[in-house]
Amino acid sequence: VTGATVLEGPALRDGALFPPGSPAVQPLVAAVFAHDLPGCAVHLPTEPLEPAAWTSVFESVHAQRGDALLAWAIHDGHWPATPAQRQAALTANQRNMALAVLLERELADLADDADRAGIDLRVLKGPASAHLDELDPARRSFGDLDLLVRADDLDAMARVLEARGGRRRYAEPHRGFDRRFSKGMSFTFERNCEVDLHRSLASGAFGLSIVLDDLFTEPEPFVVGGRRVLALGRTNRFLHAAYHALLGADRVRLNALRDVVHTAPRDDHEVRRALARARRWHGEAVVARATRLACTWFGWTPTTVLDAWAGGYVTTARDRRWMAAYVGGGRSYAGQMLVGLEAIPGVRDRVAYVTANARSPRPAPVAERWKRGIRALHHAVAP
Amino acid sequence: MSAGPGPTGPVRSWSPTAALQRQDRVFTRRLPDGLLVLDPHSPQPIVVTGPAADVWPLVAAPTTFDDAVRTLAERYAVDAGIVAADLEPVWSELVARSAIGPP
Repeated sequence: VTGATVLEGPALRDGALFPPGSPAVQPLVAAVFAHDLPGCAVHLPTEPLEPAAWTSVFESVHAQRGDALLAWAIHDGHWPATPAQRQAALTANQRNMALAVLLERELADLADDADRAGIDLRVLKGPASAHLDELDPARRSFGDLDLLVRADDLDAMARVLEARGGRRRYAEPHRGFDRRFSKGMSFTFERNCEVDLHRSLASGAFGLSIVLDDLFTEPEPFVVGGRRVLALGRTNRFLHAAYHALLGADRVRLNALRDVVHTAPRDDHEVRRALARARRWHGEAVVARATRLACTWFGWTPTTVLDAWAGGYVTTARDRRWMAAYVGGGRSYAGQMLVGLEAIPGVRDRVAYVTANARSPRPAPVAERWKRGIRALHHAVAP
Repeated sequence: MSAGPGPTGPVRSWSPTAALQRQDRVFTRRLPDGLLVLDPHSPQPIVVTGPAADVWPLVAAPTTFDDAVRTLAERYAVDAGIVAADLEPVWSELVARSAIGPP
């Protein structure tokens, strides 16, 4: 791919689900996220991109929190860049990493407080992926903390967050709703921090179908600033990555798709375990679709068994109904809540769910997270 | 730690012969052109750029300033006096921020 031809290139298959940006640069954006992944084959440019293509790629990568990957690809000589392009990538990466260390400090303090309150905490996504799945944490950007607690600990953990200055973004729509039905709650702070407190891994039907006790099995530890914390086990990280990649927004999140590859089952035993859990959670369609997208966009070759299963998976009517509320142009919070009814057993619980959802909040905006990334660097100094 | 004059004159709060190492609750990230270091209390991280960033792996174990200077001078084949002058403000900043301290 050359700078002269890149804007005329074809979009990727299933490109309608690809993050916003010029379709012509989709293969290049995908390459940023996959070029260093095991079992993936992507084409990198052979010369610096011309300005329009660079701008398009840079903005798309930045919006997907891939600045670190682009900066390292340039630094390692995999991605040719002009001096100005290199500087832009380094600056963006430095901002992201400044925010990452600030969030990790917050995480260590929060873990202390949770311990003191007797709360069993699991770290999701960002820091966990950085330390457990990336070759080097320096390759992973994140803009907030995602923490999982048991439903019974939600209120106690919310008090911990509030004691640390957190303010809940939206009030609970109905007393007891969060503990019974919600994905979780979101907290903002005066300082440069946002924490999403999870009860489950998705909202609506897919989240309500997850067997929550499964999430606390086989935890995996990692260390931030000398403080040991726990993440989900690898199988759960794989399933969560698939859920987050496909269900987290109307377009696929490329960092999460990268996590799908990183945490994918490595042998038949792991494949069987992951698929059995996906079946238990009614999430096979999500895992199959995310796997196929990683194959298509990242040139990924998973294990033979996973590849065959994902390629041959036939969606059910329920899969299609549920997925339509999350994926693509038909995505809506109301739709997710509506299909959520199907995942709730019992008339009383259904009535409670419907009543509460009549007053349920909208999904949280994300624009503030970018502003926080910029603020994180503002006072950073070079000695 | 005893105080003494730094290479450039000002009094410093650490001794070049005192062994120091990384402290807990210090958060770092490698950058393609350096290192980010965030201590337990500062509102923002500092950025250490250039060869001075190589001091961080050295202080994984107790290391004196003088030893760090010697190691980096050998690694980069540069006069120790030049390395000391460049490293001193970085070392001072890491001490001031409690990013490195007594074992």
